[in-house]
Amino acid sequence: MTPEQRYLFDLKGYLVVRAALDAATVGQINEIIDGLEKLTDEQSAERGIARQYRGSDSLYATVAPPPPERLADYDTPALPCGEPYERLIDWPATIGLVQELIGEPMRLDAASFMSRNPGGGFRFHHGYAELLPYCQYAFDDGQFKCVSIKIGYALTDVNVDDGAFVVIPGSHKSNFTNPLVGQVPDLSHPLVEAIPCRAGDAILFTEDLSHAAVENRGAKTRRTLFYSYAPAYQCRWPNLCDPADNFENHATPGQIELVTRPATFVPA
Amino acid sequence: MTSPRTTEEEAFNLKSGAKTGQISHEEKHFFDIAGYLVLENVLDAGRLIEARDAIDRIMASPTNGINDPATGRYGRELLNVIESGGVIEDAMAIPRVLPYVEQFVWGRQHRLVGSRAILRSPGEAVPLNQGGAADPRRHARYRCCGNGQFRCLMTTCFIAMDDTGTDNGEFCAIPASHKSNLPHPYTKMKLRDVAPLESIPLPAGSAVFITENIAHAFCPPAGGPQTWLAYHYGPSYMMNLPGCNPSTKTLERTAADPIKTHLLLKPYYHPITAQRKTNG
Repeated sequence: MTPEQRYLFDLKGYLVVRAALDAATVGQINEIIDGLEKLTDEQSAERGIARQYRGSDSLYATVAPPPPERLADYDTPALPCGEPYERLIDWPATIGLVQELIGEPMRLDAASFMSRNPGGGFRFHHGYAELLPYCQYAFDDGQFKCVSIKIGYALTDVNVDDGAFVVIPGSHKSNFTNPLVGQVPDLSHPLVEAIPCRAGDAILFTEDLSHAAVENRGAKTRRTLFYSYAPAYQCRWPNLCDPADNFENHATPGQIELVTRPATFVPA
Repeated sequence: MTSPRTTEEEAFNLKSGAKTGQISHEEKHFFDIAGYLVLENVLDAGRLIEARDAIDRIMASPTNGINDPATGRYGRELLNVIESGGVIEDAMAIPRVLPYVEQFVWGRQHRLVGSRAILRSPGEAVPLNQGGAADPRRHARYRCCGNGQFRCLMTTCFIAMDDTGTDNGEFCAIPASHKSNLPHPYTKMKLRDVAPLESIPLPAGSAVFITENIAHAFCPPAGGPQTWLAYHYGPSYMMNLPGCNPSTKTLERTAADPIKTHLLLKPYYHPITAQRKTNG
């Protein structure tokens, strides 16, 4: 990381890496999604890519119904979707940054794909004062020691009105619970910052940051990949890090280590 | 045998009032994250006119007790301006402002440690200081504990005497920099090129209340000269800024006002007898 990247991540709790994915990779990934969306739910599930449809709940907000001709909002695990998804496990533009932010042996603990239609939004969640230990932002002895770093890769252009990712910069150090928790973000609030992206951009953030997504008021369905990393002593999120059956036959040693490594405890 | 759990506040007679306060959860959350709060209209139009007249007078002829360093680095500065009395003195104890001092410093154990009037002409900017852990000024430290209590060291209320706007003399800051673990890398950069710097324009009569630990600056005025009043508050044991000791005359003048008297108490760690509690 450059000195400015280190300063800004410590200050705000996130970093944007513009054009982290090249256009060809974004194209390959979207092409696979287009193909998968032609399958029924059952056919997709048979490939290990079960769709989990999202309705309005404490985290997700359906502000308006999705367009009838499209699949409803859904998530799937990412790794079984194909080789381009596996390449992102240790993608050169981001993996070094994640390693520096976690600061010790780490693992991929989740990788998921999200499809979000117009009418949806994400409610605010997290923040340092929530004291969620698996999200903790920490910086000691001149080093980052975060325990959850997520990367959101934009697969479509996301302007503010398209349901942009939203954060409260600095909330990864907040001593007070977030009064906006559970709310769909209101961009007129002076603490709230939207992060519009182009397809291929990556947003790295500590999970301790208060984050959300504004209501998607555009016409496009927003596609995002989330890859989540944690120290190797932490477990995986259930059903979100299972690779394809033949993963170890073609993955690199680095990818295998990040996905299947046993628990690593740094010695005293 | 276990002894009953107690706290310093319970064991002694501290009565700092630090656990009470009138500030909302939203404002505490905002200040804790951003490091500043905007307080609109702390001086109404009439008081503003009085203040401008008073500043014009003391700039032209600093009265006794007001210190006028020969050259200010970033404009002209007068120190200890409460000596002029009137609205400049009253503005150290604005009822809208003091609850923030109490909340963010140490309850009742706060005091005024300095007052300034600052005049900047076009072209005169104040450069960006370091904030957070890289700030060499230990007296500026920000502190807020996990139980939601603040114990900031120096805080400052800057009151704009003129309208300021974007690229026109406004206060600017890097929000959240009071908690930065790292030095900012913008020391040789023009203010407008510092990406995380946020412009906070204020109309005349409004104020920004800050922890001194935030990285902040002032843009140069674009049109004519602009004036600010600055009131610095600290915990009860903080000494006055150099050149800001209140005169006997000022102490006598304010003696009938309990709020001003409290603000101008000599530095102390605890009120006398606070650490002695009689039973019953």
